[in-house]
Amino acid sequence: MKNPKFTHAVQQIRNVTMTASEKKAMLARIAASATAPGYSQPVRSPWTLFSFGWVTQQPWVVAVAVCLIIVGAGGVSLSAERALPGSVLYPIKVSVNESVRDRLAQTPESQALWSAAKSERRINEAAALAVTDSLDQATQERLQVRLSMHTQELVQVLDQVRQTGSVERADEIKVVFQATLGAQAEILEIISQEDERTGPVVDTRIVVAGLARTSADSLDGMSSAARGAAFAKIAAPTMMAMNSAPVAPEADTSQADMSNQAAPSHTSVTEESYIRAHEATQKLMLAVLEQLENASVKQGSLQEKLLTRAAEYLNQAKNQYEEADKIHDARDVAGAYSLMLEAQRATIESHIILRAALKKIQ
Amino acid sequence: MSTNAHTTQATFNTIYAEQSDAIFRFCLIRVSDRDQALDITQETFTRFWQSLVQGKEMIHTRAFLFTIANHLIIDWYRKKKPVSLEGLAGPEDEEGYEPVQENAKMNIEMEAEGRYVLDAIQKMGPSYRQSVYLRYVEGLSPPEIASILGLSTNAVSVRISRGLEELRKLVGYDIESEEGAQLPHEKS
Repeated sequence: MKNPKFTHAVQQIRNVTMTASEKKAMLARIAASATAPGYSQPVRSPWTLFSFGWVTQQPWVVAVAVCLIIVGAGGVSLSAERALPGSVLYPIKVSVNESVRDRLAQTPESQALWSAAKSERRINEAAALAVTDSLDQATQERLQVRLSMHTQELVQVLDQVRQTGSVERADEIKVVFQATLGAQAEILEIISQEDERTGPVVDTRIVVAGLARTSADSLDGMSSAARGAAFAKIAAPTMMAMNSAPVAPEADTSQADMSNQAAPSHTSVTEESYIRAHEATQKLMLAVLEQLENASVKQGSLQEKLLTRAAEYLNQAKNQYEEADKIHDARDVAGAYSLMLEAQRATIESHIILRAALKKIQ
Repeated sequence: MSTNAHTTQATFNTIYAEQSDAIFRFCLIRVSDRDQALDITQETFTRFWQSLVQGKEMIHTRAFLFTIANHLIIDWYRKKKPVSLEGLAGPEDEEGYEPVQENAKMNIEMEAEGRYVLDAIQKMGPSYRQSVYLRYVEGLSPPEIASILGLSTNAVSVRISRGLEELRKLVGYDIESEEGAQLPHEKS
């Protein structure tokens, strides 16, 4: 300060000090206390273990806490995977887990596989609720909306897969998806027939089976009845002589015409594509046939009904497979390929129903 | 004693020699009791010694000492302060700073001019009092004061500036502002 009066006053304040003896005595006391055993290194209170400040300063505690949070979050996420509509964790399953997997699917092929998986999850959820008679109308409608969204998404992504040149892969994903949902519908219907006396539970199972079929068939824009009609049209010459063709009685000509318009054309199918589909179907049919022959069940049981249905599907697949070969011999590669895919689908359906029966047997 | 311990001891002795009077004065002016001020000063340096031994990082040693002393004084007032309904109902002093008791003023021996300015500082508003004292009497820089009071440097600068104006009115003569305000004893 320039004002000497103030500077002088400050100096007078600063003259307030300890005496030399006070200073010396204080230093001696500090030195004595500092050399006292355990004083320079203070003993930690046992309560510091519960101090948040101390805990956060320990790297290992922080690391363990982070691990626990990650494991905990992972646990919640895993638990949510098994959640059903109406459960607290269900929003995490559809909004968090599935959103993450949506983002993880980068290629059109992985997106298609994931869209198919999502549809299957919705059907599985509906089926799980139906067997416990917990599928109310509102939940059913919500699941139906989600299922419809997933199926539309799958149709779009499969188009993208085809555009990238992987027509066969797109067909394969579609066949597996349709076969899986078709087989689930079939199994639900068989089980509901078995539990006919249980009342309202049966109705919801039938409803879910219908949902699965609609979803599977909506992929190529035709009903299962129409699919049967389409197959009948392609395979007319030989199917006339067979009884196993799944031609639904309600499938009229107009439906068949519509199905022809909606069904994806296979005009660009090559000989190699047909041969690969032929080999894959043959291999699968032989594997399923072997398992069917080895399975033995009690007469009149649910397992027997499932096995019978699996055998019917395999028989249908065999007929389609043979007919496809004949069409191929007549140089209609696209028609033969299309029918071979139908045979593949029937074989996969047979395999899934067979697996369900074997699970029950065990 | 190891070399490190010797170094720590030497550092402590140097700082004690340089700062003990300032800390004592700070305590004495705040608690107005010489014995109590000595106790708090000793406790301040004991804790400072522990920090040195534990190797705690200190950016401003002087500010660190004043911070310890400030906390000890606040603790002392909390223990000492009688609890009354008025006290519970009334607004608390934001700094935890108690005005000097009238009868305690006599305990501090000081010449008239110094006493006059110190009394004026004590009469200042609580938010300016400590900032002005630490700046103009002890010569601490605004960042050091900010560290002691737990404020931002800007807030401290504003308090010093306004406090200076208030002090000028209280002492009744002009006190030059920041320019040329380097006190002879001021350490940067």
